[in-house]
Amino acid sequence: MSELLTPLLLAVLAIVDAGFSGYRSAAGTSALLRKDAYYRRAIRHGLRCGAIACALVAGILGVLFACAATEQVWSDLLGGAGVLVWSFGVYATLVLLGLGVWFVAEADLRTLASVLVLGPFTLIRPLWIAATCAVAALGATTWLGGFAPLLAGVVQLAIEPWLRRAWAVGGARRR
Amino acid sequence: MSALLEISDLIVDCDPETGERRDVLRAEVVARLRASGQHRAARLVLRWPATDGVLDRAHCDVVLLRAHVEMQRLSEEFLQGDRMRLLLEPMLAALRAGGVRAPYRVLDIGCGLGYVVRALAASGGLGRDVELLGCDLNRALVDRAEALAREERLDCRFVRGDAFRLEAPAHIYLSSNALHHFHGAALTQFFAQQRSACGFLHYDVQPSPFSALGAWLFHRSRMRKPLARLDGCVSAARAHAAATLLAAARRADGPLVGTFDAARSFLSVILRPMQCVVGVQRELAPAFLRELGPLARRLGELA
Ligand SMILES: C[S@@+](CC[C@H](N)C(=O)[O-])C[C@H]1O[C@@H](n2cnc3c(N)ncnc32)[C@H](O)[C@@H]1O
Repeated sequence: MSELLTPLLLAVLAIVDAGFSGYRSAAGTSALLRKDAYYRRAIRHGLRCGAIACALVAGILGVLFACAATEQVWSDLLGGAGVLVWSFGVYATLVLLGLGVWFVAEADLRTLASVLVLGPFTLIRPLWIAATCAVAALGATTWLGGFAPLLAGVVQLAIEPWLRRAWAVGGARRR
Repeated sequence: MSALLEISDLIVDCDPETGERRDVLRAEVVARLRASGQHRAARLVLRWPATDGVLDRAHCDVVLLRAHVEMQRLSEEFLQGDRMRLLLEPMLAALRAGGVRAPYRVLDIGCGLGYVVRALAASGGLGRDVELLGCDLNRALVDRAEALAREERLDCRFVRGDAFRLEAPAHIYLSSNALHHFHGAALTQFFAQQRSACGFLHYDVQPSPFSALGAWLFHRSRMRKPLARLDGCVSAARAHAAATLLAAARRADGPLVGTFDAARSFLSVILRPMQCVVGVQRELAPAFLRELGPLARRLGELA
């Protein structure tokens, strides 16, 4: 993978994940039937937060890297990002397959996809993120290389609770 | 240890006739939950506000409404409106073919926030001769259901009260996720009160070796309100086996009864998380089966 492609893919995965967090923050808060616009707004909200979070993490790492720039640190950062991209890519592919089944299948298969794939994957998401970031951090040989995946993981995990609180305050009212 | 209980059944007590709310003692609810081994549920209720030991009604309503909004996700993801329509359309067609006088009153017993009734109204097409009605004992739920229907300009109505004591009886009774609230004599009574209806369709969770795990996974991942999580898991554990439902419905000596989608194999247990008890008067049954077409294969014997 080219040097730029890895961080770029990671940013895309993080932003899409934040979009899903946005959806989850609104799900189960409105009993109306027609909620497409409501959910679209929640997803857009999540995507925006994801983009801001990515910029924040990139900014912090950029400043730290400027202070401690070496070949080894750069290679650590790219190595860590590679681990994250692979792991989150596998997760995203499985979830998208589950969603694909949900969208095209008839009622019973949909239910199965919901219970067997989408539900469990939502449940293990925090664990998956934490474990992946821990593995990436442990593989690093420099402190910044170890710190970067941990920072990314913490920020990504903080997005959903934050979105949920923000939606509970403002989003539900603007139903 | 006594049978599992749902918190939402314990915290609201309404006089079925007048609809008047009766005081509920927090200590009594907690004691009942503890006696059935549901200590987490007991701890939850213990934290709720009470005056002189009586649970705060406004608080209970807010908690209950939020939990119901969240639990609507179950009906949405399981396409409960579509499932009901699948059987309701043929049943209505059978009524028309059988010369039953219109308009046809379709009543959802224990409608909660009225998701199924509203979904049926929203997708339309049942016919102008059909009156969609939801009924629940709980005023807070019915008021919200009515407000939601009005906000989306849906052609359906909601009333508070005992579904079996309304002025005009229904032609077809429906329910979803309600059967497991009735046990023993109450279950028999539930069906006996629909003895003279043209038909009924009652959907509930299919009990299976996987339903407890499935319900836990679903509620853990989809619900955030503790009440929704706790009651959701308990409701799957309380679901009746098809044989129990059939026995109770047949004891009522009313319409012919069969089960739709009741598990017959390992695969169907996994694929079909919901089953439906179907009742149809003997003289309407041939038309109903005809209208069902290939779906009739999923219906067990009507007897
Ligand atoms: C678990 S809720 C089901 C709500 C809804 N059908 C759903 O799927 O979310 C069961 C409801 O049945 C109501 N109920 C029980 N007996 C009733 C009766 N005889 N008439 C009307 N409502 C009744 C209770 O008040 C309760 O709200």
